[in-house]
Amino acid sequence: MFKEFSVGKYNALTLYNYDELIREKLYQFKGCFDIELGTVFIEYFRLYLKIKYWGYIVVPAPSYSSKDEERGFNHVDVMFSSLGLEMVKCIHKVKDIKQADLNFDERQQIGNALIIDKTMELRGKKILIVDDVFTTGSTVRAMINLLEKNEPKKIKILVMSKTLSPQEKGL
Amino acid sequence: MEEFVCPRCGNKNLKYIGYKNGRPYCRKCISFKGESAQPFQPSLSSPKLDLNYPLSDDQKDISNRVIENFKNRKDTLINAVCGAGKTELVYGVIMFALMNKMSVAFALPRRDVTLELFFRIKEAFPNNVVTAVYGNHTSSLTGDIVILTTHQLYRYEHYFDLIILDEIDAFPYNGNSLLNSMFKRALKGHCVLMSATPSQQVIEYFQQNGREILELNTRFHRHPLPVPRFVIRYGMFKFLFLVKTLKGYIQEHKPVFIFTPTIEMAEDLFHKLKLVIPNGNVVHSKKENRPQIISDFRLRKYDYLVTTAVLERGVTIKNIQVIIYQSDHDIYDEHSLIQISGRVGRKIDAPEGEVIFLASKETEFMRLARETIIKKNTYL
Repeated sequence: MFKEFSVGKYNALTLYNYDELIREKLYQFKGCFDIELGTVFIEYFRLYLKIKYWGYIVVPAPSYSSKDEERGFNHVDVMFSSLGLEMVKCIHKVKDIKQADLNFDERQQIGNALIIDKTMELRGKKILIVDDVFTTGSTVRAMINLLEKNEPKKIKILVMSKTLSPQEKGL
Repeated sequence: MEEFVCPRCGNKNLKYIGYKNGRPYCRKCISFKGESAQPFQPSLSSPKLDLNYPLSDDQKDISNRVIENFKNRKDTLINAVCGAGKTELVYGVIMFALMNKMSVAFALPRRDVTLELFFRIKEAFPNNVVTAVYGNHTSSLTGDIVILTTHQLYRYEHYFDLIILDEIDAFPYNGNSLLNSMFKRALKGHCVLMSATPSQQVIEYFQQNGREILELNTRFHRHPLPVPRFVIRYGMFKFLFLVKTLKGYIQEHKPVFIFTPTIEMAEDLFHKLKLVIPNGNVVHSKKENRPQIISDFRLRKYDYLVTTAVLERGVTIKNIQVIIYQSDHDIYDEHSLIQISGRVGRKIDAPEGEVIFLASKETEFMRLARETIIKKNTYL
């Protein structure tokens, strides 16, 4: 549930645990292309988030443009659009690897698969990385690596859901 | 006001209409998205029916009448008691359809029972292609006989000459207009519906022209249905009775199901029970290794299983005894009480067993369930 955590030295926040309900609704949204469901995910916390991240620039985790075309929309954009913050889509996927199909070790290597658009002016700005699901964190870490080089003022992370680590599950 | 009719599920309610890039789409049937089945192509082999046991006279009679109805383009409702051998009743009509190169589906509301049925049908029709289709198991959609959950019917538009739909009163199919629409959309020919506890609505529908209701009130082994025994105890005395009775059954080497109304209560009861009688386990819909636990239970690894309604239907365990813990709970209507009671005495070499309704008080549903079972037994 609504919980703060950290990725390296940066603060992160997750709104929900990635459980069966979230998985079902995400499937309906992303997999069945139900665009109307998009803004519902963060709606409960919207006002709190608008205040907390006031003045931040949103950098969404990238997804495949081919999938976005098929779907008719980009799911991360739609999900966080109601925050009313400026969205800068400066990070893109290079190869066509589907994250969910990789096992853990391969996931960590995704650092090779992202590139940043160097023309975007991010120096001295406050950046908010957003994504729908946080699992190993390799995507977010790769994004941090690319963004740090631009010397932003701050980097924070906001994810809609996070899978529980084995320790958190009480195993 | 715009008019919108969904081409897939017929929904007209604007509440379910969403807009994407300015274009409307139906949100009611949106989760029914996936690959459609390729057009049907019958296999070339000649069909063969392998029966493990011969049918009883009652069963043969019903089986023949179902075939006659199908030939005459009539839908049939089979109202048969638990353990009557419902599945065998439709082998005849399936064989008829196969011989005429027609496409056949056998649909069930829940996934658990689908796999069990798949093995039975494969055994009974060894020369034909039998395919199982259910959640996360949808790589192959076609075959001479398709065994599937009702949810999967959306993949088959105007497709099957014969659909057999079992447990029509079970969740989630019962009362679900969307699944009902998908069923009608998938049916090209005629159907055979089956239930031990059909609703009044369904019965009335089948009393009309062009349809027929067939009843089978005797179990195939002709022994009576076990009549539930009421045990009324207040508060924790229920638990004491449970422990005492359970120990008695275990001494007699009889496996036991203990039904609870909710998943929480199942886990709670099991934790308490485990301290006194350790050799047991608990199952419910949220247990991922459920099939493993159930097959271990079959092999007598556990003396008892605490369970929710997930095992209410379809399961056959030899010599099982059943205790419904808190049978006065709101969740138990007479249909579910009758279904649970129907788990007992299904095997020809163990036709008897005890069904105990353990509660703080008697409810109308408990009374109705017992009355119905007693009434069915008078048909013997």
